[in-house]
Amino acid sequence: MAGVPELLLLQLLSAREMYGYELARAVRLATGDTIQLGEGVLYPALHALERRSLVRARQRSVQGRTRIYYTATPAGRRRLLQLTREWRRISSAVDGALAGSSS
Amino acid sequence: MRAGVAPRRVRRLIAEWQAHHTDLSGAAADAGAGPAEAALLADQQLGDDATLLRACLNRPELLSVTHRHPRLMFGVVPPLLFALVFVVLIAILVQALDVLHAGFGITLTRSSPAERMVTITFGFLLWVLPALVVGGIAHGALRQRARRLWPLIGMLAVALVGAATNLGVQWSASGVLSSLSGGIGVSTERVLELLARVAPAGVIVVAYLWRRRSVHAS
Repeated sequence: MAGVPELLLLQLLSAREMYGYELARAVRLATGDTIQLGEGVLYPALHALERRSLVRARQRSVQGRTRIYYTATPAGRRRLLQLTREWRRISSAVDGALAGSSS
Repeated sequence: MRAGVAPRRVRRLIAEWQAHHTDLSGAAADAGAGPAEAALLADQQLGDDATLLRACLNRPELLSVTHRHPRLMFGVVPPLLFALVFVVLIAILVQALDVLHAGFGITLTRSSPAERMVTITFGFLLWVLPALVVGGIAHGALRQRARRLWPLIGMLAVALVGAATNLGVQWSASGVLSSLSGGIGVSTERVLELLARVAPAGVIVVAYLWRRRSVHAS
């Protein structure tokens, strides 16, 4: 469960480049408001991903405002695949256990 | 935040939080909230200072080199830096004396600029440089709110090595500079001098511990 925010962020940043506020809204939309990341804590998570070379940041000036945009790196995409496989394995195991206990 | 997180990350994080806050309050204002209410909603959605700080400090990747490697940054680098500056200044002094003598034909006697250069350089190396390095360690440790152990070890190492370093100048019978000498050692005849040379560093260590205590208490 600890890797869920990382999984979501990498999934969204693999699709397109986004800045923080945009990413927070995208997480809410993509998960149907089920998962709402604390908006401020998103940035330390992004910085940590950048430090691990899983995302790349660049400054862009849009409509007179300077924003920092993030996108997944090739290493980030590989990490996404790994996290996705792990998530599917775990959720399948939990589903199996729940199905077993309810029958 | 600077007490742990690397400074360039602090600047960027603060800028990003401010921009995000502006976006949040803008969205709230677009939804009909007044300025004060929009700002309050933005504060709530962004998170309080303690939450944001904890989110940063809980991520080892964001911590400064000093926090990740205190042994290196306080215990190894400052003594090496002290030794390097020491050696470089001695080399500069020797070169300067050589230029005075060979280049300008000045005889290196007691009353010549040579003596002043040697006195000033030796005085700086033996009395000022150790205190400067110890002060630098204390300043860095306080600024980063580092744990006490490695800064104290670094300060002690520099203070003791600095105090035990000896420099000497030998003048011939006719008052001409014949040689410069140096070494590390403690002599029972110079205990008072040793204590006097350690004293400034000792004052800095006490001031550091006192200041650290008041910073951590606040």
